[in-house]
Amino acid sequence: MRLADPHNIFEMRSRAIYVAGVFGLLMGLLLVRVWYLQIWQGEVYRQFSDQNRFKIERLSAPRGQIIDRNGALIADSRPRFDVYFTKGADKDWESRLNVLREIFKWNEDDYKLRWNRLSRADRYVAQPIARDLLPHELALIELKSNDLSGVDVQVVAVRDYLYQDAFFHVIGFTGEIGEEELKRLRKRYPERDYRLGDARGVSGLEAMNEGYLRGRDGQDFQVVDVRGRKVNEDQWRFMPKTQRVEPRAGKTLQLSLDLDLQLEAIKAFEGRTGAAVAIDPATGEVLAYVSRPALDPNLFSKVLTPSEFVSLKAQKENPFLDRVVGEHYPPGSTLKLVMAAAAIESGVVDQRTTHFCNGSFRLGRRVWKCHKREGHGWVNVVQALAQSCDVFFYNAALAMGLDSLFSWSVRFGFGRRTFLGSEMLGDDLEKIYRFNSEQTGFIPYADWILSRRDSTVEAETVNAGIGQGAFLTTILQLARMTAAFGNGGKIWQPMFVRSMMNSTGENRTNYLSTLENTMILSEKAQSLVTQGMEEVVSGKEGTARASRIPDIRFGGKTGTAQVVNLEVWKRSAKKVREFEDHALFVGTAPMENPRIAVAVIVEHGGQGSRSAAPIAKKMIQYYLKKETAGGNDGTVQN
Amino acid sequence: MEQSKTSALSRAFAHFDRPLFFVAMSLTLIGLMTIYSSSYLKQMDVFWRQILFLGVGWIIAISISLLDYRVLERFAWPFYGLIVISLILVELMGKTAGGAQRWLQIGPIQFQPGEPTKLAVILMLARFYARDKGASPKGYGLRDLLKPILIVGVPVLLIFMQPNLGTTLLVFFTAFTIVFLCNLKWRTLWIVVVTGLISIPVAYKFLLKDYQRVRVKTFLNPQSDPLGEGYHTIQSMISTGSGQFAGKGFLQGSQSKLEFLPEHHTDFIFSVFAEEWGFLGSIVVLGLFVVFMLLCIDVVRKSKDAFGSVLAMGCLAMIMWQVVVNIGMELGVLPVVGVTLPFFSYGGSSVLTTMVATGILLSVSSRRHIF
Repeated sequence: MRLADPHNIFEMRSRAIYVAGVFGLLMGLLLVRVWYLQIWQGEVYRQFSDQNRFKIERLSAPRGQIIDRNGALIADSRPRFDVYFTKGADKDWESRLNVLREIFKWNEDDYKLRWNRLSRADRYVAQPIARDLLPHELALIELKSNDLSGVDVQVVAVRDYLYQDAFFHVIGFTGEIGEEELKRLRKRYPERDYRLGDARGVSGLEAMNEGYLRGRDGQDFQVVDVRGRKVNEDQWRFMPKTQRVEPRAGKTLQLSLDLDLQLEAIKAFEGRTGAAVAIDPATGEVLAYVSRPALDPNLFSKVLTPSEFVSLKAQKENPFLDRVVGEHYPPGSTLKLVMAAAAIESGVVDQRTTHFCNGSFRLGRRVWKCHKREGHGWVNVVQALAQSCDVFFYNAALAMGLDSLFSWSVRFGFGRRTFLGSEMLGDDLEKIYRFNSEQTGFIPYADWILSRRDSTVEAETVNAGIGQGAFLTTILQLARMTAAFGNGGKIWQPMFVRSMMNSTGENRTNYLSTLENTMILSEKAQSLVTQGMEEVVSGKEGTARASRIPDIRFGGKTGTAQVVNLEVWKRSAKKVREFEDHALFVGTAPMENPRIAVAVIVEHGGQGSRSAAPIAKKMIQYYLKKETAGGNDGTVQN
Repeated sequence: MEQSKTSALSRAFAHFDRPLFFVAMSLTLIGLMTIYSSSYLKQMDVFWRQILFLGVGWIIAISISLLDYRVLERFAWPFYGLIVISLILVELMGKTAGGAQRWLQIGPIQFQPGEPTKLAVILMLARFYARDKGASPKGYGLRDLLKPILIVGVPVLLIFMQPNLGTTLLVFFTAFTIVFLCNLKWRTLWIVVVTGLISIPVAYKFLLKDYQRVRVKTFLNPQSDPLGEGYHTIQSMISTGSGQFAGKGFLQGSQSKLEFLPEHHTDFIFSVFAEEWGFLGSIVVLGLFVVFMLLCIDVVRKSKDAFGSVLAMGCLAMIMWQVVVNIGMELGVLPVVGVTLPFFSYGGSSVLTTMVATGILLSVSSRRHIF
């Protein structure tokens, strides 16, 4: 046995004290650190740990419903089921992803895409992995939930448009919020709690009434573990009781639109491009609002790939364009109604005034043609309207002067926005909203023509007399002008939201349209023009006599708007569709007490009598028939 | 002969270091209680297996304490050789865990040779210094470090290649403590320390694997990646801090129960304890470790031979460095390197290594009066 010899055992004993000192110092430092974490910062960390164990689940609030004037549902909200995936701590997330792959039948590319996203993702951050589950997929996920830890199904309320593309331009569509918009929306509606990926109105009423239609999301507090799995409450009796805040649906909007009339109008279009709008002359309510082509807004509740979106945008007849207010057209002969009224009021025309039409009109060296080559012969104002004689109105316009025409056009509501939809904004002018990029239209005036120097005031006066040249109008402006002949000269700001209420139907607020202007038309002007309108449809030589409605006094005016000037039209070898004239028709009925005023345009539809008038006829016929059956009042509620 | 053996045994019982045993047993029981709390909800098997490991571990510890530790000097070389061979085997055919090869499968048993490596190195160094007569009275210089460096270097290099940064550092610190105890010249000490400090950035750049570098980076700023690599540190700090003064109460720590705290029964067990018992509990556990350390220092100082002193110091250093590194990492002051907390952490290899070291300390202690 070797005895303790060591040369250095005594040295070791003192060295051991140093070691004790070092360890003692280190342990002391650890104690200070523990004190810092638990005492000094304890309150902060306690809060952190509380946040950790409570998951705040968002209960997505349904968007407000949109119903028609009779209470029929047009736009509803439906639940959309999305799948989120959290990798979590375990390394075998790929096998769970493979289970999902079988459920969703992803092909190699789909799978790779998701795998790539997940492999880069943080372990405890949920990643969206599938959207808008079909019922059987949802059932499979529930069934296999044991193999699918970290897989979370979230319910989001999204829009459901019941009539596909029928109300695309009125109601608009919703889309998901991107980063930029999020900032803007949070600033504008701070109490609405917007988050990335939420739905928000992009166009139409959805965008205009975003603040009303968006509901308030609810919250559900849950005790969860790190994978976000709910923990059974009885197991955790010491934890605070969970509180639930129910989601509140957005406000319900009742439109003045009539669902059946709208569908009837769309049917009448038979796939052609154009627009039709019907308003109630007595109230300024919009009854139908059609712009063709349109898209199914449900498309946008799904996630579109960029290429899909581009292909929608690139369609030849831009379906995003609202042809009722977002585009302006030359009014063509439909403007002759205003011309006639203005000329009578200015005293340059009365019932005895006649002009001879030989088929053309000469002013200086320029010659204007009447649409009827052989001429109409001697015509008075009623005949000129009925047969749409251009020569009569060339003369009337020249006699009246351009600026007189300008001031009457202004009175009839041309040349400025209708501010459609501003009924909900009240008197607050700051809030004035430009619905669907509403256009102003344009009325030419002498100073403007002089400043352009490419035409003479006289020539443009002649042009304006038949609604050609620089004159531009929206279809809605045409409709309210037409309505003014049936309601004693009232020019409304058209409206389409009749009332707004809670999702339960309580707290109803009703809206009325604003009366913008009332013209005092003389008895003479009123009767002559309406007589002319009636002759257009029911007269022997009326331009729209094919669209007569039996037993209903129906009046209107056809119009044909040149898209290119006559020279180009003649030179084009083939009669290309793009150069074909726009067909227009404005009309109102019944003449003794008008209930509906309609304006229709069919782009490149040729003559107004041929393609536009039948659409107007069908709309008016349908609406008046329904009204006598007693279903248009809007007092009936669902 | 027969009689002397029995008398040696009874003498060993008579001189059994009861305070040291009591402190170590207290730590074991507190650790077991914490394992129960962290596992009873979903993994009770972890608790039962830990009881088995600790039971076997304490039987081995008591057996070793009754044994004359000087016998161990004979096992130093064979044990060391065995460890080096198994480290090479791990390198060639080991199981991987978290990007590192650490496990060796022998029949049904999985075995982590990194843990007993610490013991083998301690044993070899103790044997070396007990026999080495070459030192000048002034102490060991730089040149005398060659042999210890060889002894430590071979297994450390193999562990580092696994790679296992935590064990590498621990073996290195433990060995360095032993070398310091054995009369290393102060001047040499400073040279080694300064060289070490200078070489840290070099090692960081050229020796560490990517994932290790990320860990160091996250340690320097855990908030930079709260849900990725910094997650461990932040959740562990939240666990500890949320315990506040009195703790959330036994079995009521939400962080570990709801699995926010990862690896809560192995590397992050102290946070589980601190969450439920608060600052008061933390003082008790840190205090018990300090008392344990002081009692062991006493063992080192009172041992009658150099072999016993070095051996005891090695075991003490091994345990205490693990305590400091592990708790430091749980409190967010040291990088997460995968070091277990002695007497607390779950795991067969870790428990057995700690228990063998405790047994050796008890053995050295009970024989301080023999000579």
